[in-house]
Amino acid sequence: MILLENVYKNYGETKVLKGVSLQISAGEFVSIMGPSGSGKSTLLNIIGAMEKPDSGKVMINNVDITDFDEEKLTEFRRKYIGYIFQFFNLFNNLTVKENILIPLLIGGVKNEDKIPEVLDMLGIGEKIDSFAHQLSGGQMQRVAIARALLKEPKIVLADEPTGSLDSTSGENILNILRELNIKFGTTIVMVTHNHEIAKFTDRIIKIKDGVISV
Amino acid sequence: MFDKLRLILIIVFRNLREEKLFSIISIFGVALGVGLFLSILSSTQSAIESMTSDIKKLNPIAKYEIKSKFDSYINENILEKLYEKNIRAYPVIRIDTVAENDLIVPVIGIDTLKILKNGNFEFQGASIDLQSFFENIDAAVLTEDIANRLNVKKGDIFYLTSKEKLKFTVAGILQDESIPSGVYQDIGNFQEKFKISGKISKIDVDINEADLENVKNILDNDLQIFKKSSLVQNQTEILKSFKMNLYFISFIAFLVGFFMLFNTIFITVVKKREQIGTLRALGASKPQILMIFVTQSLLLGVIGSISGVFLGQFVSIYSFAVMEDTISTIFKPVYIKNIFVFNKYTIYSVVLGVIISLFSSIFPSIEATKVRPTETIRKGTFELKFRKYFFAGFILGVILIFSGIMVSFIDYKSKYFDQLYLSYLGVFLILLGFCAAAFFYLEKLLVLLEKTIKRFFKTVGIISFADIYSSSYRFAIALISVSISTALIISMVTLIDSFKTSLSDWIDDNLRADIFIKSSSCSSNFCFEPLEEDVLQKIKTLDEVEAVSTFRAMPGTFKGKNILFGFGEERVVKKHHDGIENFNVTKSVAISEYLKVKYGIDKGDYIDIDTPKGTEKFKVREVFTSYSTTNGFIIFDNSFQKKYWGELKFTQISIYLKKGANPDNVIAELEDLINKNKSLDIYNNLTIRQKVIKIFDKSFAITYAIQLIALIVSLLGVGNMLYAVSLERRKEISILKYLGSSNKLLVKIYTFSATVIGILGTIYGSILGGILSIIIIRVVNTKSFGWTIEFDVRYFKLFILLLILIIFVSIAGFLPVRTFKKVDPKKFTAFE
Ligand SMILES: Nc1ncnc2c1ncn2[C@@H]1O[C@H](COP(=O)(O)OP(=O)(O)OP(=O)(O)O)[C@@H](O)[C@H]1O
Ligand SMILES: [Mg+2]
Repeated sequence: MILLENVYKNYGETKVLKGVSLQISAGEFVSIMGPSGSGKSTLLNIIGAMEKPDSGKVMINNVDITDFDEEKLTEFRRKYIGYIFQFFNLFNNLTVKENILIPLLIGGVKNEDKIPEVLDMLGIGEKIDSFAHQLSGGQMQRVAIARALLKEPKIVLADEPTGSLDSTSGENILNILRELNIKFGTTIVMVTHNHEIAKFTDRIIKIKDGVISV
Repeated sequence: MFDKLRLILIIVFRNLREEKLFSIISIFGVALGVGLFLSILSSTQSAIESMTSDIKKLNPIAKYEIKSKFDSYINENILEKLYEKNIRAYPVIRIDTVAENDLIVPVIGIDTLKILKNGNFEFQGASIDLQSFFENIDAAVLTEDIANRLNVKKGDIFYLTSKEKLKFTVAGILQDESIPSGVYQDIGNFQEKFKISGKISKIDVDINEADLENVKNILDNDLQIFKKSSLVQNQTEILKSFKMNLYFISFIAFLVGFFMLFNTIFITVVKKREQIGTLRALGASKPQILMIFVTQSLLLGVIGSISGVFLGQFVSIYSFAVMEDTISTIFKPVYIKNIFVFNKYTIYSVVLGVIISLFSSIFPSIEATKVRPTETIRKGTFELKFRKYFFAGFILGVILIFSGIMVSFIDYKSKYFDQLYLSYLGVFLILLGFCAAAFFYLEKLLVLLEKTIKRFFKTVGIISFADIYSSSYRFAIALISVSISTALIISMVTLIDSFKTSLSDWIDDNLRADIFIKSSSCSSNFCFEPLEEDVLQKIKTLDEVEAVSTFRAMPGTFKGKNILFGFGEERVVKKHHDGIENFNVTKSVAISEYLKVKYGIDKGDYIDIDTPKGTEKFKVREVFTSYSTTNGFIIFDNSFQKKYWGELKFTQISIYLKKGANPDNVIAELEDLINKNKSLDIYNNLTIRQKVIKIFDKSFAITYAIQLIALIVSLLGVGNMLYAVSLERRKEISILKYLGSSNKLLVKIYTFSATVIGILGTIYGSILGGILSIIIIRVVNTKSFGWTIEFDVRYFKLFILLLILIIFVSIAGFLPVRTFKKVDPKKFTAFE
């Protein structure tokens, strides 16, 4: 499903990933852990087709995306990837509904009528016409999740999705992800600093100084 | 397809709503550009229309017209000869008169019966009292615009003065817009009324090209037949350079709109970097991002352009009045109808406005597409990427500036006279060059100033230095808008001052007489209607008069082009202007600089002049500068008028008084002696000077508006940028606030940054302004008007103006205060 072979990535002088190889099967819910600056986000970005490695091989969904150009990467991530950001990255000047609508419109996915249902399921149904900046952090993250879910991606990537939430809200989010994983068989890769949360997942991948340290 | 559109619209509308203030400002900017452009375009076009309408529109079926070669009346006997040959001919006679409200009103005599018969003129439906029109010598029909300006309706009585005060009654009003403005009389009544029986001004003839030779054969020696289209062409050409300069001004107006729009789109891009990154992460493609910002700009552009059409209608009220005044003074009386019109120019300017809006969104939109999806996670990589191009930009800039200067210089040296396009291209290249080099300039200067700034301004200095340095790309763009404003102010002020000084010098040199007399029915600089002969004798009877000199202006041709001839009394002029006694008059002429520039004729050369007695050779004695005409001008001694033109008439009189005589007393005597009927304007030296200066000020009034706009653009440009930077630096600001800094300190920091940009931008702009001034004064001005004006740079005045500019720009530091207040010190630091 997700296969990285000997992936290297540098930012100028900074060597971030130094030969990362890993494999995640379809329907797995894994977490990535490691100290700050160890390359977790970078790794997630490479899996999410947002950045290209300097060398190595990246296969997602049995497609080799290593040599994709920007345009193809964009198309790829539009089709298969749902991304949940640490700081939610909602559009503050759009309503909740519009926020969720955006990726559907980009990808041409006809799921608009499912929005209320999904929001209800996430417990924020009544917020559908509020502006994003009127929500609390936990609510925002749930909107972000709804945004990632509605286009029914094969893979959901989450970079510290609970990082800026209190523990109850964090747990809530985690349950939602787990449910998604079980119900639809979505592959989920989540970066976290929190051991309690990581224990929830099927497998923990540890990264240190740009290499996987099992 | 529909999805994509919906996506774009959702985001665009929300963005516009969020940026209400800047959206309104840029709509206003575009509207201003479009409005100015539209009003300038349509007022010049209407002026040209009016200037040529008496040729084109009076007897539109006639393609040719017969006139005197020397602009005098012609004998109507010629009509008989034409009728004998079965040629359809329409005589026209015209005299400019003055109304009681000082309006110059042309009275036009036409052969009404013939015109009615041939349907040249729409008299129907105009409810004209035809019986009285033919039988009553006072009867006249008026075009609607003239009737409105005279405030008369059918049946009213009004008075017009030409040599004497004449009474008219309104027999009807002509509604047809295409008829040239004026007061119409039947030709018979006209000749009787003005006591010039047997004379006419011109004859419109309806012939084919084949008959042309036939007609030529029966014409007397002093008559000439012209193709109307070539006369129209000629008139249009006279206004060409005038037009070009006005277009240049409206181009600047567009530039202003461009900058405002550019800033707004830019700020949206800056502010929405994260959003753009998120969109990219969610799978939006580059073209989609591009479309979002282009659409936003397009929307503002369309709204702005349409508002501009309405704004333009209001600006037109002013620009039409100025245009009418200026053209009436410099060239000939024009009457502009229809101030509120929607025509093809409306469409041109809207289209241009929209194109420019698109153009202004290109750079910010491209920047938007460069935002990478990972920027949602990490910020500030753009600056780093851009910085490496600074030096290349500088080199490119220097090359562009240099080629711009070369191109303008080639234009200056080349003889392709009417083409100023090269100079404008040059100016454009120089502007581009300065933009390209600005980034490097700012960065290097900052590095140079770093220690000083940090030492003297401590905290404020350190933080604002870091701000500017790390966002030098954005600050450089703010700097560019300050520089362009500076350059505009410098070049406009220098142009106006230089021109004014040169004009004053010219007045000192040329207006030496104590009293000037001209016909009051002539508002232009030059009048062709000769004054009464006996006036001269009467003037000489006054004791206080030391000398009188007459001047005659007459249209002439030179190398096939219409120019101006003047006949003066050289001996009197030389004595009173240059103190030369008994000046030896030789067969020579003085030519205006225009002819020198255009044909390369210089002092000592010989030129051929067409006279009624044939072609004569004259030596060029001197080349003079004339600010009173933008065409060629040749001045002869009066003795040659007698010798070759067989006349000794005059259109103006200058009087030199004996020492100690009071001009105003003499004027009072003259009014009584020669001006009982008020047909003359008698002015003293001071009044004439004031009039000249007043016209000058009026013509340049629009440049003051541009200076003001330039100030506002700088303020908004820098304000926009600081606002954008403050948004980008919300995190840093929150940390500063967390560490105990007040909003006041933040304002101080941003005001300081603004001032630094203001000062550096002004310095940079001064260099640009200097170069532009040289090109405008030395190349554009010389080539389009054939005038030389001497540089007069008022350093102190410029210094004060630029100081105001800098203060204005510093105020921009207050604009982001809203962001400061909104930033919650707890919120951002909590994320860390
Ligand atoms: N665009 C970039 N330009 C320069 N350096 C970068 C860039 N992206 C990441 N880095 C560097 O790469 C290293 C790894 O960054 P990354 O964001 O992957 O770490 P992380 O493991 O996610 O850390 P954290 O837990 O703090 O989020 C860091 O040293 C960072 O400075
Ligand atoms: Mg990270």
